[in-house]
Amino acid sequence: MNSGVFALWRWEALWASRAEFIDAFFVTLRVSVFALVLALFLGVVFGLFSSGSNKILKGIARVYVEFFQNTPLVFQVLFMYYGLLYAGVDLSKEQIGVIGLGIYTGAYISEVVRTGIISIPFGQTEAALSQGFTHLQAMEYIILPQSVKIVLPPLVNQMVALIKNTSVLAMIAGGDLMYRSNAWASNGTLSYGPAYLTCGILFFCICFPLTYFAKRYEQKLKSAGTSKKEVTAG
Amino acid sequence: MIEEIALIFTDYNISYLLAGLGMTLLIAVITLFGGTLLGTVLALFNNYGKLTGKIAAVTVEIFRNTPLLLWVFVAIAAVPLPSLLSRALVATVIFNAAIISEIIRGGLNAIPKGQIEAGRSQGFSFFQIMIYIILPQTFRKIVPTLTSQSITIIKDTSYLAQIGVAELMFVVKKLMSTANTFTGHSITAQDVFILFGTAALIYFVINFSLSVAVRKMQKKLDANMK
Repeated sequence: MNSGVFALWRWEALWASRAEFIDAFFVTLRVSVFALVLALFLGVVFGLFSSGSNKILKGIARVYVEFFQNTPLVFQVLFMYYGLLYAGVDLSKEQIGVIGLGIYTGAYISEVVRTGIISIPFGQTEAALSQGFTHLQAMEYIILPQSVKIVLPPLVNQMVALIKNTSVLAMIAGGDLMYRSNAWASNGTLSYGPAYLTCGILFFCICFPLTYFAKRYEQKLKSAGTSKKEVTAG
Repeated sequence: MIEEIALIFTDYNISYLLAGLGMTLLIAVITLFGGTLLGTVLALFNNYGKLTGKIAAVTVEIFRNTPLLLWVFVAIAAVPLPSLLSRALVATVIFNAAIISEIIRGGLNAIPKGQIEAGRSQGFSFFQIMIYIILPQTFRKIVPTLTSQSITIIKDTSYLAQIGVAELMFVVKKLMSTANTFTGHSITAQDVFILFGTAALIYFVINFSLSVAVRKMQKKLDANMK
C-alpha cells in the first residue's frame, strides 16, 4: 500500500468516517455560536461598567478584564473542568467550552466596547441626559449605535479568535473539530495528512471571510475618515 | 487548607513547578525572538516583493485563520526533529511569525516612503536601507504591540501541555493528578484550587506586569508623537 502522507486510500478512509468529522464540525460551530452570545453579553455589560461613572462597577469590570486577559484560556478551561469534576458538578464538555470561551472572549470584547464608547464625545451623553434621557437610554439610542461602526472590525477579529480558540476543547477531549481530527488520525491508520488538512480547511473557510470583511471594513472607515478631514480642512 | 498546601508543596514539587515555569519562559522567549526574526522577513517580502510578496501574504492568511494547536499537531507529526519540544517550537515560531509580520507591516507602513528614495539616492542598497534606516524606526514604533503579543505567546505556551512538553500547565496538571500521593487522601476540589490557583498567580503576575509595561510604553510613544 502507498504510504504517502496524502495517499488516496487515506482520503478514502477519511471519507468513510465523514460522519465523525461533520459531527465534530457542528460541535465547533455550536460552541462558537453560544460562546459568542455569552461573550457579547458579558462584553457589553462590562464594557458599559468600565466606561460608566460608578467606581465600584468600574473596579469589578477592571478585575474581570485583567484576570481573564492575563491568564491563559487553556488554564481557565482546565481549571473549570477539573474543579467541577472534583466538586461533583455535572456539566458537559460542550457547556464548559461555551462558558470558558464566553467568559474569556467577553473580557476582550468588553475592552472593545469600552474603547468604542469612550471614542464618542462625552458631550453627547451630557446632551442626552439634559434632554431627560436616562443613562441607559442615552447609551441605547445615542452612544451605542455610533460605537457599533468603530467597534465592528475589532469585534469581528475577536470572533475569529474565539472560533480558533474552540480548539482548546481538544485538551479536555471535547469532541470538537480539532479533537476529532487528531483522535481520528492517531487511532488506526495514522492518516494525519488528510485529517489535519481537512481540519485546517474547515477552520480557514469560517475564519477567512470574517478576517477579510474586518480588514476591508476598517480600510473603508479609515479612508472615509481621511476624506472627511480633507473636506473640513479644504 | 494550610496543612493541605504544606502537603502539596514539598521541596521536590516546588522545584518541579519552577522547572515548568522555566520551560514556559524558555518556549516564550524562543518563540518571540524566532517569530520576530522570521516575521521581519515575511513582512519585508509581503511589502516589497512581487511573487514572494504574494506567497508571503497567502502564508500569513493561512496561519492567521487556523488554530495554533493544529500547527502544533502538524509539527509533531511532520517535522523531522528529534524532540517533541523542538518540533513544537517550529510550530509556535512559524505561527507567531505570521502574526508578528502583520505587526511589523503596520510599523513599516507608518514610515514615510521618501526615506527609501532618500536612501537610494545616497547609494544605499535595499538591504542597507532596511537595516540601517527603516527597520530601526519600525521596531521602535512596534515595541508596545510586540510586548502585548508576548503576553499572548506566554499564554499560548500552555497549549503545549497537550503534547507532553513539561511547561507550567503540564506540570500543574501532573501534580494535580498525583496529588493523592502527597496528601494521603484522594484528590479533592481543594487540591485543584490550590494547584490551579498557584498557576493563575504565576501567569497573572508575569502577564499583568507586561500589560502595565505596554500601557506605559504606549503612553510614552503617543506623547512623543505629539
